Amino acid sequence: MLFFRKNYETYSDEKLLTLVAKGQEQAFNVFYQRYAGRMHYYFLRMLHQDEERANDFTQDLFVKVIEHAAKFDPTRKCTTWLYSIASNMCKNEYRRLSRWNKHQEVFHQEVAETVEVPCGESGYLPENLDRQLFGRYLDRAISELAPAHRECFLLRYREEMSIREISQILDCPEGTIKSRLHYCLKKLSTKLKIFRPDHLDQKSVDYGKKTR
Amino acid sequence: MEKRHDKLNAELENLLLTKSFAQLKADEKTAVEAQLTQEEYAAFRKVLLESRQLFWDSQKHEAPLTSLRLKQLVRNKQNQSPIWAWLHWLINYPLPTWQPALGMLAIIAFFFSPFSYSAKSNPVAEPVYVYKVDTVYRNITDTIYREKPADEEAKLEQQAKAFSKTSKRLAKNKKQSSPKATKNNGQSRVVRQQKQRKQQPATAPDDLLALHVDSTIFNKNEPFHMKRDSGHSLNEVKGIMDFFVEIN
Repeated sequence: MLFFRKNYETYSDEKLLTLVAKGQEQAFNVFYQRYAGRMHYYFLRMLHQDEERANDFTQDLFVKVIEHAAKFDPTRKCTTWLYSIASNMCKNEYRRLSRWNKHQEVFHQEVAETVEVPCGESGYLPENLDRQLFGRYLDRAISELAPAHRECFLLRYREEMSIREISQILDCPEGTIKSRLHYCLKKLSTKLKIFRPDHLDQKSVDYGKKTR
Repeated sequence: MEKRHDKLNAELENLLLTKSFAQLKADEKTAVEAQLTQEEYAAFRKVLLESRQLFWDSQKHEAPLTSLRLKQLVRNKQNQSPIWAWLHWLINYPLPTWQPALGMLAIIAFFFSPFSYSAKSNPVAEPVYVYKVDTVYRNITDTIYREKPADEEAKLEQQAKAFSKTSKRLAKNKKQSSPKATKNNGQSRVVRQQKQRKQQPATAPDDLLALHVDSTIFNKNEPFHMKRDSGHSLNEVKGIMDFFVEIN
């Protein structure tokens, strides 16, 4: 019997979605394993590191996937469709939050306070402290970006999507995506100017070679 | 001051990820300096590489466990009949709230608006009169009296004698068919003629012999209309005859 068992792991995302639409539980499990982690991280980043909300949103996203799997156009890329739904969910959440406009204000204030760190005589942090803290503050500074910019940054450098794919997901021109990415880098580098800009030069080649 | 681009193009991004400013070739340096200063390039590069490292580490991010609810949803999908799936789609069809709200308002406005209904606009409220007219035909005998010159009959007799036998027969027939006349004393006399009028329907309202109206529909105060015929009654004729006899 094992011989005839289907190996869903080898199936493409689009094929899996077609099977999910027909109610194949195994196909759904494989699909979930492929994307749940990525989507959870995306929601975590987009929803101010709120773990509980990220869990709920991930769950809701997959509910939508199950319900609307039949509507999925197999000629489109699955990730584009999935991130479009996730992006819209986040936009709705921001809209809901903006009614109070409370949560974000408190959060920004908190981040702004924590980024304040003592500097040395050279204007930069001591080298050992610099290395320890840079990653942490970068994480915070990314969270502090405007949602639209943060989303672009995440999709480009975390999900490694092309500019065209991002423009399809966010439904805006490619030029806008490029300028948003430029703005993100400028904003982050300004926020993190207390850190030494050159200490990564030795290991930069290694980071650049990393591919998924 | 030279123009600075505010878009991160693919070439610049690639250079940022792979080379430090010191490693750039002369032409690459020129291209980079058109957009960024050396410090900016270094800062951008550091942010990009650290971000990638940060995101790389997040690949180990664990996914939340598949909930029973999701599994149940998939199972339900399997058991769904096409009709139910269609109904489900219909019920869950995304519709902006303002559309059904506007629809409800339109229905309420239609039923409760004072301008939506008036008796004038109802065609049933206007009375419709239906007249049923029967034309009745009746035979009428007209009696005509006319003055006839005295020499007319003598002329006829002379003519009759002058013509052939057939003419005589004609004259004889004429004599027989002619109305009863008094003796010719060389004076004019009144001749009585009776004529049978042909049956014909009334044309003008005054000529209506009889008008029958359905009393259940006819709602005005008009009575049944009956007009006397235009001829003379027997009593009137008798009176006239007597008058002429007295004159003679």
